[in-house]
Amino acid sequence: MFDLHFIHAAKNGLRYFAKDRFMFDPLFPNVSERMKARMFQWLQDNEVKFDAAYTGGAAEGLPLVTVELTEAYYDSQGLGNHAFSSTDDDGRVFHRFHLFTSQEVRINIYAKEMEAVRLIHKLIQATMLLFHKSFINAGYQNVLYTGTTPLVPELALEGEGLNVYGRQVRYAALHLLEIPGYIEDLNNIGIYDPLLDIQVALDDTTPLESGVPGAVTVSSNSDS
Amino acid sequence: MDFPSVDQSLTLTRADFDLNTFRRLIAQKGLILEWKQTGECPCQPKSEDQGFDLSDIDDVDSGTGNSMACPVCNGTGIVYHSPQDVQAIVTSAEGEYLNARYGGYREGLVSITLNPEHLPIFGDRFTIKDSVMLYRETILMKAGQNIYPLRFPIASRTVTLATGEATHDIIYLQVADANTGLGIPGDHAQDWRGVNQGFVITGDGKLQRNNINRLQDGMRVSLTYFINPSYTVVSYPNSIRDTRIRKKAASDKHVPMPVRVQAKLEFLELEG
Repeated sequence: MFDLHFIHAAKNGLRYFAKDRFMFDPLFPNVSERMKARMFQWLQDNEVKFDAAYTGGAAEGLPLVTVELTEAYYDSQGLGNHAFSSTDDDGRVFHRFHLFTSQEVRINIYAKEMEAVRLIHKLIQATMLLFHKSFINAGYQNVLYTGTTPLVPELALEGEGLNVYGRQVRYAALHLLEIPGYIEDLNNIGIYDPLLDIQVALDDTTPLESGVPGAVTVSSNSDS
Repeated sequence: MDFPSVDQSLTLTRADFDLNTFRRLIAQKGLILEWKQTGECPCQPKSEDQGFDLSDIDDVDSGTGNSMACPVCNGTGIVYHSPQDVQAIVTSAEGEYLNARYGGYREGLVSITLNPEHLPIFGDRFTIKDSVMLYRETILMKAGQNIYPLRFPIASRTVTLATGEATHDIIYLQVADANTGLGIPGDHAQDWRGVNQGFVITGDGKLQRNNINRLQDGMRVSLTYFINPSYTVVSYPNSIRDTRIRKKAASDKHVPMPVRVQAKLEFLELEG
């Protein structure tokens, strides 16, 4: 989902920064007023399109941002992928299992104007900073900028007026997949572990040949 | 070391290229293309805009690239000029569909053979005015907007069918529900066409919405329509393939030959 979440954030981020010079100007604190003005104006005059890569539909027009998703292993997993136990609404205890993954989005920027590629690159970085908290709230443990490839022409698109420039920005997010361990095997899919569903009670009766007074007895069998 | 060639008699049979016959072929069989020549835009952003001032020296400009604020090239660095219609032989069309990381893309390559006076350079654009191909795209209906320039102007094609001669432009139109985003079955290329029916096509090939109860704000609308394909020249013309002829003349004369270039299909949008 990191790619879909990214597209949502980036599209809204560009809209946010393009709305007002008050939001836009702080991204470029040192450049001249003339350069800021022309970049902001370009944002007003051009609609940056967003899409997932390889959708099969006709490619959107330029300028264009497409997003790919990859996932890498994370080498610090909990022992046996076990997590803490929880209690459900019925008071039953169940185990949790977890998997840490490192999800990575590769964001491809395409535009005919070199300056536009630079601008979109900066806007994406700013967007990811702006919405960092939203990603954390969405369950990502952390979001890291992991680099950008050089700005190069995309030769496959030279039919589009000869020069289309491209650049790939990468972000990685530590993600925790955590599931409730309700089942033990494929034979009882959807059934609670019966061992966790048996009610017991302390009984006053001491079993025969037992030196310990009282006993724990089953008060109800599993209803699973 | 010198390598002098033997004297070769030029008075016997010659195999001169018949330029007039070839010109006639282009005039008879050539398609009509709009040819737009290109030049480099001299614009360049000033390095002082970058906000980096070197202390204690008088900085000289080190600007690079083209300016996105340029009113001539819009930052692409390419200027199109001198549009004109020419005739040319278009051959060797090839290519394939790619599902690439930038989306679905039709890669196409053609060879264009022109009269010698029509000498293109890489980057020039040819639009085939006689021929059409089908193009698909999906647009979004926006509040307050009724004229929709598609990525390419909508072209038309006239064919003879069993029912008689027919002209087509948009051959498929389907909408998706504005609220759910799900497609609504039905092709409305015909029944939503006309005054207040849904849409009409403007004289310059744009879609004009005229019934917002059918083409509602927020709807995605997929269209399949005819376009005049355009191509960007990606090779140098083989203009050095000139020759010397002596037809009806006492001496040889250098003659420029027809030129051939390869050009790639423009797929994303016309002139960006």
